Amino acid sequence: MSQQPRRQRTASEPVLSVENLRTEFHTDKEVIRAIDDVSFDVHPGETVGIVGESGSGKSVTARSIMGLVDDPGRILDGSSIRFRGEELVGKTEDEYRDVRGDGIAMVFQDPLSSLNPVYTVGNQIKEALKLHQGLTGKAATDRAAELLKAVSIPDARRRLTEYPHQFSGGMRQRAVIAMALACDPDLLICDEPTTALDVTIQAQILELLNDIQDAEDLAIVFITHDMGVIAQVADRVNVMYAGEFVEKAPVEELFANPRHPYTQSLLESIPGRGDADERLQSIEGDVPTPHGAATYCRFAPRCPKAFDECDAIHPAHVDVGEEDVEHTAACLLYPDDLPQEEALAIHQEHQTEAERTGDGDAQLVDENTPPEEEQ
Amino acid sequence: MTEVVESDESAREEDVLVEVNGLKKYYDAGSLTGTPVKAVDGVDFDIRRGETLGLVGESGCGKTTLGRTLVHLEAATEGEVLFDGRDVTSLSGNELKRWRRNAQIVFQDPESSLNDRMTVGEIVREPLDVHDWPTLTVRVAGDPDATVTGDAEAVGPTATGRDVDVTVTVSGDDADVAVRDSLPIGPEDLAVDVDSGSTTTVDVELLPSKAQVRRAHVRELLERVGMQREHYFRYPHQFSGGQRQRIGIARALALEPEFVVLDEPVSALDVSVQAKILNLLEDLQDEFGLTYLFIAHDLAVVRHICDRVAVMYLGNVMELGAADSLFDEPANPYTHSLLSAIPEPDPTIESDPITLRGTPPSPRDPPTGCPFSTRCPAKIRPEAFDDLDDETWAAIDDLHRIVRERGRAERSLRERAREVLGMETRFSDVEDIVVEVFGRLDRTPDTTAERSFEAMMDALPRDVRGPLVDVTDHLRENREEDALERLLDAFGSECDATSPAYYDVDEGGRVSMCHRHDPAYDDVGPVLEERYGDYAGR
Repeated sequence: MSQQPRRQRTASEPVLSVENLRTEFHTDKEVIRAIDDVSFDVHPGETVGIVGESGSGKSVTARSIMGLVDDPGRILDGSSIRFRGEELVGKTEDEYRDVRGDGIAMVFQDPLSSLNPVYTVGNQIKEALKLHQGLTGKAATDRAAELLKAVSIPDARRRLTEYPHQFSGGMRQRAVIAMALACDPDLLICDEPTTALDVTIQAQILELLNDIQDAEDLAIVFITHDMGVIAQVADRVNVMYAGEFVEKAPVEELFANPRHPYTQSLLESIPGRGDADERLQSIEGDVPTPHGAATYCRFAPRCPKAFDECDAIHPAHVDVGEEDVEHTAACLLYPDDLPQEEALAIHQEHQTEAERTGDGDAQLVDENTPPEEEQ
Repeated sequence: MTEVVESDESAREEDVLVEVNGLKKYYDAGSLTGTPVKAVDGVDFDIRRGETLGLVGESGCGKTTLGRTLVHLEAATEGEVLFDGRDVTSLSGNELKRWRRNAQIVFQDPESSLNDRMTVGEIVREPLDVHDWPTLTVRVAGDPDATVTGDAEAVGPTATGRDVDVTVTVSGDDADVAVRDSLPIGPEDLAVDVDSGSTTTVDVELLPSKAQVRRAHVRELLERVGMQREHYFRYPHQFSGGQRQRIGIARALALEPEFVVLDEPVSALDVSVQAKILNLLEDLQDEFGLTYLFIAHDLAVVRHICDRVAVMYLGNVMELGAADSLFDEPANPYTHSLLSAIPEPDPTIESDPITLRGTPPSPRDPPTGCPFSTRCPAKIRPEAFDDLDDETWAAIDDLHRIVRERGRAERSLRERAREVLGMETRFSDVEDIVVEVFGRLDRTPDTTAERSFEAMMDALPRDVRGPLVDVTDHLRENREEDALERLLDAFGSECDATSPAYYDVDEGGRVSMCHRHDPAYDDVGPVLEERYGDYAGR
C-alpha cells in the first residue's frame, strides 16, 4: 500500500458518470427511496470512495451501477449512469451483460459467497474468460494462471485445480479479484472488499489493488464503512447518509476540514483519534429509512447543530472549500460566509427548482416514521 | 467466597482475579487421524481485579477459544485457570454451576446470540431462572452459628459484598434487617422471625414471589444498559444491532458476575453505535467493579478501552503488557507488523506498512520453533548468509511457504497413484515454481527466453544454489518433507529450531516472546529499520 502522490484529476473524460441517481424499492407496505439524487464522476486511474454506515445505501449504489437492482427495486426516470459515454439506465439484461463483461467488474464483501463451492477456482476463472474473451482450452488455463500470478497467488497452476474451501480468506478475495480482472475492466467496483479480512490480509489486498490500478490505469469505486481504509485508498470521498451524499471532497480535505456535521460526528466517533481516556463521541439515534424525496434534512433528528429550518428545507450541495478544491456539503449551515437568511434562501431555491422539474412526489413524503430509536 | 477489595488503587494493582497457567486447548486430541488442532497452545497470564485485559490477534489465532475456555464453555486440555486462587478447570456439576455466576460472556454476533422466539425479558431473565436467583443469603451479625430457615440460607463468615444479600442484626427477639443495595427488594419485602433459643434461629420469608423479584431486576437491568423497562415484552427482531448487543450485555450482567468475557462485542456494529456500546461498557465496569477480558481484532478499539493487552498468534501469546507502552513501542515483530497494517484514519500519513506475506499456518501443523517464524519480517538469518540481499531472502521465504503449503495440500487417491507411477500431476511443475519465485530478482535474467531453470540457478550464489537444487530434486519426487528439511537445514536459524522464551522488555512487566530479545542477536527495532526503512506504525 505504498503511497503514491495523490492523483490529479485529469482533463480526460470520466469513465463513469452518475447523475441524479434515484433507486426505489416498492414493497406492499411502503416505498423505500434507497438512493436519492446521487451524482459523481470517476476518472481513469483514480479511486473514488463512498463511505457511510450500514443502511446508508452504499451497496445499492454499487448494484445500481452494475445493473443488479432486481424487482421490487427500480431505478427512477431521470437517473443517468453513463459508462464511457454510454447510457446504462434502461438497458436490457442482455445488453447489460455485455457491459459487465467488457468494462465494469465488481468485487463483493464476502469472497466465500462470490465463489461457487462445487467448482474449482480455475474452472470459475476460465468460465469468466470464456464468456467475456472467448478463450477456451489451454489458452484459457494459461491466462487463468497468469491472472492468479497477477494477484500474487504463488504456485498458481496447482491452485487453479483447487476448490474455494482449500483457499484461505485472503486468497479467496485474491481469486475473486482475478475473476474481476478476467474481463479486462476499465472500472472496478469494490464493495467492502476487505471488511471480512484480518488487518494483515487487508493490507495485502489494498496493496494489490493499488498495484493493479497503477498497472492498468483502472478507475476504482471503493465502498467501505472504515474511515481508516478510505483515508488510505481514496483520492476523492463521498460521504453517504440515508441514501444521499452529504459531503464530497478530496480525501485530505475531508479529513483535515470536515464540514458537514455528520462527517464531523463520524470522525469523532473513531476510537484512537483523541485521547484514550476521553469518552467516545457518538451519534444519537439510527440511520432513518428514507421513503421518498425529502423536504427536510435527513440528518436533522440526530444532528447536534440542527435548528428549526432543518425540518422544513432540504439542503442542497454548496461549495464549502477553498477556491480551487471541489468540496461541497449539503447542509443549511453553509455557505457560512453569507447571513443565515441568504444561505437558507439558496437552499430553498434549489428545493423549489427540484420540485418543479418533475420530482413530483415531493409532497407525499411526510409519512417518514423514524424506526426504533437507539436510546 | 470472594474478597471484594474496596477501591484502593495500590492494593488493586497486585490483586489477581484470574490466573492462567500453561493453558492448552486442543481439538481432535484423541482422534485416530493424527495431529490435533492446537487452538490454544500453552498460555500464561494474569487478569487483575477491575482491569480490562485486551486479547488481540488475527482470526484463527485462538483468542475466542481462549475466552470460551476461561468461562468453561470449552474444557481445557491441559493447564489451569485459577479464579480467586481456585482451579476451575476441574469443576463439574453443581460446583461448576455455582461458579458460573461469577463468570459470564457477551458474544460477538447480536443477530445469532439471542433467541428470536423469546421476549427480551425472558432472555435476560433466563440465567436468573436457571440459577434460582435470588438465593437470599443471610448473615446473622455477630452469631455465625445461627440457623437460617425459610426462603434463605446462611453464608459463611468470610463472605462479603454481593455474596451477602441480607444482614440480620439480632437484639433479643427483634431483628434489624438490611438488604444489599443492588437487589430490587427492601427490608419491607421480607418477613423475618427470630427465635433466640439455645441456638438462634432466623426464619426469613420473601413476601413477593421470586418471579416478581426477577422481573423487577430484569427491568432495572434493561434500564441500566440504556433500554426501556417497557422493552421487556418485545422481541429481539424489533431492535437494531446496537440495542441487541445491549440485551446481550444485560443478560451477562443479570447474575452480577465479577468477570465478563467480551468476545468481539462491537465488531458487528457501525462506528457510531460502537462508540455508544464502548462507553456503556466502561460505565458498567466503574459501577459494578467488573473485570473484563476484551477480545477484539480492532486495535484502535482495544487501545481505547484496555489497560493491558495480550497479542496472540497461532495459539501463543506473543507479547503482553500495558496498552499504552505496547502500542507506542511494540517489542515483538508480530506486534510491529500488526500495528503497521492498521489503516490510519488520516490521509496525510505517507505510510509504508510492513506487509506480511502469506497467511498464518494451520494450527494443526504449527511450525517448529517460533510460531511466527514462517511470516516474521525480522527473522534471524544464519551468519553464513550475512551478505545475501533482502530480495533473495524474500524469494527463499516464498519458496519455503510454497513447500509448506504443498506438503499440507490434500492429495486424492488418484493423485497418489499417479505420483507413484511417475505420471504428471498438479504437483509436477516444480521448475516453473522455482523460476517464478526467483525470476523476480534483479540478479536473475529478465527476458522470458533466458528464464530457464538452469539460467536462474546460475545467477544465484553458489551456497544458495546447492541447497535449492536439492530442494527441487526432492519436490520433483514429491518428497515435500525432505524438501522442507533441506530448506531449514540450509537457511534455517534459531527461529526455526527452538520456541523462544519470554523476555522482559520494559520496566512495567511487559513480556515478549522472540529470540531477538536475546542479547546475542540484534533487537527487533533496528533490524526492521534496516530491512524496511521508515515503515508505518512506529
